[in-house]
Amino acid sequence: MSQATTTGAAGTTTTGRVRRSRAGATGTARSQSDRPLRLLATELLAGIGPLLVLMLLWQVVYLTLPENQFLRGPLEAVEFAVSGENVGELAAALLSTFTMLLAGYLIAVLVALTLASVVTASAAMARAIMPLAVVLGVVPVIVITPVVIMLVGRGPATSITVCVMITFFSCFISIVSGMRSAARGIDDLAAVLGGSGWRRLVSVRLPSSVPGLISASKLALPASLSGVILTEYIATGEGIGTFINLARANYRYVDMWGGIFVVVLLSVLAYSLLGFLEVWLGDRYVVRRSSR
Amino acid sequence: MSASEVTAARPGLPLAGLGRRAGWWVVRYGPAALVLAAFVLLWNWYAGVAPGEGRLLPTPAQVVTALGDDWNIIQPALLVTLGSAGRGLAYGAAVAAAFAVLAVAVPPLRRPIARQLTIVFCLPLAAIAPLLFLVLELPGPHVALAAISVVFPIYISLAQGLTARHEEWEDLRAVTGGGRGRYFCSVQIPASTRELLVAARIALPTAVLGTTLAEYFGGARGIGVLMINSLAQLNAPRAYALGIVITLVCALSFALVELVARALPWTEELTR
Amino acid sequence: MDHSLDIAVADVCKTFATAAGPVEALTDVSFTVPAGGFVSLVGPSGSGKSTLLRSLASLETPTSGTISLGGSTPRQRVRAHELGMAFQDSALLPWRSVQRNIAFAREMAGLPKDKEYVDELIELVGLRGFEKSRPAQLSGGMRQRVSIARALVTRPKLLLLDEPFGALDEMLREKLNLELQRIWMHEGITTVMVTHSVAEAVLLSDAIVVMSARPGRVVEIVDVPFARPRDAELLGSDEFFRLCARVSDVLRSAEASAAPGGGGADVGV
Ligand SMILES: Nc1ncnc2c1ncn2[C@@H]1O[C@H](COP(=O)(O)OP(=O)(O)OP(=O)(O)O)[C@@H](O)[C@H]1O
Ligand SMILES: [Mg+2]
Repeated sequence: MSQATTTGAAGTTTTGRVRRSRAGATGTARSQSDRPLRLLATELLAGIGPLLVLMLLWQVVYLTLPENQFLRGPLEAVEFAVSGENVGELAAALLSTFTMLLAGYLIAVLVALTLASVVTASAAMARAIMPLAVVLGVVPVIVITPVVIMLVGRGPATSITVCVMITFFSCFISIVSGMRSAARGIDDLAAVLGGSGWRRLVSVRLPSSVPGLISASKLALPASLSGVILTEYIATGEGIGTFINLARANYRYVDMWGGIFVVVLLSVLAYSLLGFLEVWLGDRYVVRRSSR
Repeated sequence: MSASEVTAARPGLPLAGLGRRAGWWVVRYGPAALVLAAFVLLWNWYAGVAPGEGRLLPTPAQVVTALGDDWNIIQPALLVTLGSAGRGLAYGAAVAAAFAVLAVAVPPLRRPIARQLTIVFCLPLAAIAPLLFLVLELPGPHVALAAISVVFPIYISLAQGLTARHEEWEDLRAVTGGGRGRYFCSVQIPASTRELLVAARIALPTAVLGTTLAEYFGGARGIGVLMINSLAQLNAPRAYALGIVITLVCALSFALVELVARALPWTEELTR
Repeated sequence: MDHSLDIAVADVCKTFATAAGPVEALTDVSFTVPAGGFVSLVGPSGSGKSTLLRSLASLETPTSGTISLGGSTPRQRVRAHELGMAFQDSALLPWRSVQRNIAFAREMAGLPKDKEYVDELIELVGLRGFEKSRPAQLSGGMRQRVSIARALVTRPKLLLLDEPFGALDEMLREKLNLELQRIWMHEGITTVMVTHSVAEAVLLSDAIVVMSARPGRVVEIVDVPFARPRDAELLGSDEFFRLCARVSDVLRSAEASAAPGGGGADVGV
């Protein structure tokens, strides 16, 4: 602060700069949320562009190591993904994997929303549940996946459980903080007006939890997908994890590279889609703290 | 509000004179303790009645016993895993730091670099693990997966810290005519300690997870290998013990970073 | 006015249990407000003004003492949806338009929609033309007006305002003060307002309750005799200035009498 006063003139330009940049930020955010399709295209490009760069590097490595017997190039992988002889098998495997992922996500989000509603409605429940949630959140799911397999068996339930466990904790924490971020004043106001807990949940808490929920799902996506693939590999014998693994075991390296390429592509696309939702809905639902 | 009021109203501070506030502690931590106790009791009860005679779900007591009995197996495996994770962490951090330096030096590159590394973050590690085993010699894949998994979080934190604007200080530099390099060393780097600590807090456990994941796909020694073997032998107590060990390692690394943060008082916000 | 509530606060004490031991926020607070009256609470930071206001709204329960709102407890009045409240932070829902933010209060109270009244209030607080705007597109002063309209839309019998204009600059504040007076005279609702500005308190109130910190208690209740409507002219007058000075004196002595470590007041005339 004292520095700001000693450099009076410079200090003035500083505030000017801050104001201008802030106005600019809201300006762009507004125009972005008004043109969702354009925003979606931008986000998808932001995902695809770097993927192309990665494929270029891959091609370079491929060309510099002609005698490597395992390596296949990006063109072969794309060709396989479009018209390979095992492409039906690949599609079925991907369908299975992403069904598990989606089911896991839905369950995790539902449970997280329910639990967060309880925790934000009652201080005693918050004190009872939050510490346990935080402690369990530290448990690395990937490491205890074999334990889950012992408990749940070797069916699809295992894939879903692992996905739920990975997604749940980050979603739960974000939802709780989103629900609490609804300005305290709004909650107090609702109480003064004699609003029922249910009305407060639906009109205030649930909408305020949307941006955090999307960001958390986005950040959990690669780990969740990885978790599902791991269970496929070590337990269920289905899905893209098994497809890749069988391809490797049977020396079908084109299939393997193709499968990996497609699953990475889908992961990037899903990530970009969630990134789009994050910006688009975030602008709408984020509670701005500043009172000015 | 004055400082003393703020402290008065804020719960959860290290306290003197416990006896007087016992009631408050019961209210604050009682419910959590109850839930935890209920959880352990439920586990204990269910382990007794569940099918599999403890080979699928051991009792807490069996797990603790396994932890003691198998420690001579677990400990070397842990060291192997931590060794690979540590090397991966070092490589990953080096790559991330190189990109961060590039981002600081060439501002127009910041966005493309961030986007490019986001792709690395998007890679489902379990899908690319088999590839690494084809391309690299053991323990290469174990190290590489740890490295890949930490690059993105470390880069994000570093870039955030090192490219943050400190306008008042920048103005001061402009007025006093200080050099850019000097400014970077004496303001920018110290000011990003907090981000560095955030990076460390995320990166340590992440690296261990990366290595463990790779060990599931192949390898001779390590926690992941032991885990897969316990699964094959249905040795549940050991599997649970391994899970607890890794969880403790992660928690310990959190605590370690926390301690460092406490030792550097200007990073206080991190502890909230 | 016939449909507002009178307030009787008698010997109210409030003690908070915290990690560092009990905090006495209110001690033996007593005062009354007639139906349709306007009372301001002023006092140094930490003197329990918000706690008192929140107790009137049943957001806090006094440790001892009674609060009567038109013969009933605050809780009963809350259940009957008879209170309205606004805070320093306008606390609007960012995803709702001005119109729907105001309607929010009726939704919460479980009252039927009343589009005409919402529009009337938008007119009253001078936001015509901004019905469909979202809070992010409004200035701070406009948001504060929305929050006041929202406090009124349930036709409350008691209006509770906690530093409603605290975050605004002096000019805007004066303008909104005069608007609030106009609204209050129009609606005739009993109003209790917490403020840090002595001028604001003197301009708007029938009586000013001056409180001291640690423990929070009433030091003096200053009557404000000026005729209504009060206008910008009064603000420049000698009598206005003299009363402000007197209230400030009381405040200063309230602070001096507070126990050591007392709150740093940010009271401006
Ligand atoms: N929920 C709470 N838990 C613990 N202490 C509280 C709580 N609310 C208020 N207090 C304490 O009660 C005292 C009075 O607080 P209050 O907010 O009513 O003061 P105030 O007069 O409104 O101050 P300000 O002018 O700063 O808004 C303070 O010492 C405060 O720390
Ligand atoms: Mg207050």
